[in-house]
Order: sequence, then structure tokens, then C-alpha cells
Amino acid sequence: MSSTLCCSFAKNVTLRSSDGQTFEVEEAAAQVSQTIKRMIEDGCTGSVIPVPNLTGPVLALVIEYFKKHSPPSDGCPTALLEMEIKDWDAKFVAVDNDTLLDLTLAAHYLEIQGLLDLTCHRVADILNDNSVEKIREIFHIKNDFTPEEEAEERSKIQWAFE
Amino acid sequence: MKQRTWPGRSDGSRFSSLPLSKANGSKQYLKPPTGKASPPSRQILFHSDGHDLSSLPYDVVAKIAGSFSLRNLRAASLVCKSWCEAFRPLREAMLFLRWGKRFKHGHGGVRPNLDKALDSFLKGADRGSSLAMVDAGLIYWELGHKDKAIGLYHRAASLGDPAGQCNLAISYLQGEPSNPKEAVKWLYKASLAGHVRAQYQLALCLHQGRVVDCNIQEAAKWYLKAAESGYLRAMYNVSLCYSFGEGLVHSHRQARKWMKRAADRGHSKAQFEHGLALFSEGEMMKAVVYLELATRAGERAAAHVKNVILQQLSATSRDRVMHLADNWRALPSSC
Repeated sequence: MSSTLCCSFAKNVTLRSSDGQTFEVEEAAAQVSQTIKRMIEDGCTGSVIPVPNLTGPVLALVIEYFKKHSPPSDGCPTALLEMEIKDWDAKFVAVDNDTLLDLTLAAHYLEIQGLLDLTCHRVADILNDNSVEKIREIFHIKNDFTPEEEAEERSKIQWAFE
Repeated sequence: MKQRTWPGRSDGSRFSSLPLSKANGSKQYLKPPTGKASPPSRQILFHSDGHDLSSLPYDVVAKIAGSFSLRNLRAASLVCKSWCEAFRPLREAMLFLRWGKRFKHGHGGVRPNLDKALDSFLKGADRGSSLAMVDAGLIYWELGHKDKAIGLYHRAASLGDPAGQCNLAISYLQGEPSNPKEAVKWLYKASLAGHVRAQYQLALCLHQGRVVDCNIQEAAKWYLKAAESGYLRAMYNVSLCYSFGEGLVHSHRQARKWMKRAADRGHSKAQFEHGLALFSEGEMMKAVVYLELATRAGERAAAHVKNVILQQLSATSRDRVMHLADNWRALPSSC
């Protein structure tokens, strides 16, 4: 990637996923990510910004989030708008578990605090009030305890909570 | 309608700016001062069959599980070895949290000791439990260290803990200078998460219009939500909203229903009001019981009406009223 151009008033930036897909997005929207914001401030604007930890489909989702959460041009968001965004957020993370985990990692990597809050909350909600067996089933997790180990951990944990 | 939720005092020290910024707040709690509980920097949490191993960094794990209850933490700890390991600091935090509560309230054979309680809560907070952060914050607030309290509330709030969000918001409202914009932002978050005290507090802000624009419809909506979850003061306010058609469509029946609910749960003003309503409906015996209860709870104006009615009753009826009042127990409410 050659970075020959540095134009401080460029409005769009291009993001490239790990699998080589590129997406053009408004600079202001992309700056919802602290990581991208720093890259732009360091003078990457105008060139392609690589996002090697995200695949195309995940990056596309993240860009949707950017667009919805880019700061409004006309000042303060109203309570009504906030409610609408809240609804949108809820729908946005109502995805399958693999996608949810991808989004969580993406939010962490790109430092998108709002999205990280959202996905972590959603994962916590899924874990909430479920049995051990059910959690394993939901996240396709193999129980790697031997029965003896599990019994031991169970009694240890039981003790800790009594 | 101007009663405040906790903390009701606003004496004393100005608070400085927040000790933790949002960005590093989520990382700071990952570094407990003692090496013992220090977690590995990266940990595989989710590993799935047939799907790529998904690894979540430790601070994300801590964020997900930070506000877990005991039961959730217990289940999550037994899922697999890596989860068991990942949640170890939080399990330790739960032990500290419990000891903290013992020291605070003097339960379980220990004498109340605020310093020890604080110490235990802080150890729980260091291990990432938002519940412990809120408890430690409460003690700091009581001791007048408001900036420390706010720092802890902020950490808990950033972990998504509704109680932390609510207390943080109330701290912002009471700060000098206050920060109403931040306060309302956190109140919204906590309210949407179903925290009743936050819902009531948000309704108050919207109703009084001091820190945000007055919006009586929105206020009534949140009063109603809090009331439906059993919040006593909200029940009383909902009744007033129905009664005056403020933010809710005027309904005498609804107003009466909510006033009775608040009265039966021990709201003294509601007992007085409901007593008067019964009196106007000619239900003397019932009226006088509520008025007696209101009087006992300190509503002086209730005593006058009550005495007028009592004089008209026979000695047997008077004894019966006193018997009912003596044996009255408030129905449970969420506050």
C-alpha cells in the first residue's frame, strides 16, 4: 500500500478487510472507532486503511454501526433520537452467536466503546439465568472437564458461594 | 413530589474531575494491586466446535461478567476449563463482596466495621466485580470521599451495572457544579435496563424540568414504569398524575387505585390521601384506619380529621380501629 496522498479535508476514507474487500465510509462516521480516529489523525487519510482483524462481512456490519452512530451534524441528539438508536442497537445485536462474538472482538480491536458495551451486554444477557449445560449448548462449547474435575470444581465453587 | 432517592445528602466536598476516563476505566480494574489475582493478559473464552476459535481478551470477559450475580457466575464458571479460569478473579470478588456485607451490616457473627467492609469491597472491585464497586462507592460517599465514590460508580457504570449508572447519575446531579447532561445520559441507560430507582429519578428530572427540559408525558411514563415495578414514591406520583391529568389521561379510578397501592405499602402521604378519599365516600371505619396509620407515620394533618371521625364512633369501633392499625403491616415494595 502506498500512501502518497495526504489530504486533510478529505471527507471519505477507505477501509480494507482481511479478505481484501474495501469499503468507503465518511471520515466522521469512521471516527466512531478510536483506533481509526488515531490512524486518521496520524495522517492516513486519503490512503486505504487496513483492518486486518476483520473479515468483509464483519467490517460491513461495523460500518453500518458507524453510520448509525456518527455524530449528528445539528448538535445535540434528542431523547427521541436516542430511543430510536437504542431500538436500532437492540436489533443490530440480535444476531447469531458467532456473529455476536465477531462483533465483540471487532469492537474491542477498533475501540468502539458503544458497540463493545452493546455486545458485552448482549452476551451477558444470553448467559444470564442459563444452566451450565444450556450455555455449553448455546455457544457450542465442549466440556473439557473430566467428570472428577468437574465434580471437584463444582464442590469448590459451591463452597465459595455457600 | 420532591423527595430524593439515595443519596439524599448533598453536604460537603466539591468533586474534582473523574479519576478514570471511560477509555482506560475498563482496563484499570484488570490490574489488581496484589499479584495473586492478576489474570493472564489474554484468555481464550469461547472455543467452539466446527467454528474458528474465538478468543476474547480478558478485559472483555471481565466486562461481560462484571455485573453477574452469584448464580450466573457459578454457572458460567463450570462451562469449561478456560471459563473456569477466566472467572476465577470474579469468584474471589464474590467472596470479598460477601465479607464486605458482613462487616458493613454486622451479619454472620462479625461486628460491624466500616473500614473492614470498605477494604473487602475494594478487593472485590479490584477483581472486577461491579457489585463490589458500587458497595465500595457507597461507603466512600458516606465517608465524604465523593470523588473516590464517583470513580467507582463510573467503573461499575461502564461495566453496564445499572445500580452503578444510577448512583453515578445522582452524584452528577448533586455535584458542584452539577453535570445534568451526563446525569440524564446515565439515568436513561439504567432506566432502560430496568433499574427502578433510576426510572424514578429520571421521571423526577423530566418532571421538575430543572436539569433537562420539562417533559411531563415522558416523566409520567417513567413514574408508571417504576410504580409497576413496585417503587413506592413512584406509585404516589402516578396517582397524582392520573388525578390531575398531568402526563397521563385523567382517571379518577386509576388515581384511587395507585393511591391505595402506595398507602398499603406504607407511604404516609398516600395513607392520608387515601383516608380522605374513603372518608368522602362514607367508608368511615376504613378511612379512620388509614388516617391513624398516616398519623402514626407523622402526617400531622391526618390527626385532625381522624379525631373528628373517631368522636363519632362507638368505643367498640374505636378499639377495633386501633386493633387494625396495631396489626397493620406494609405490603412489600421495591423501596
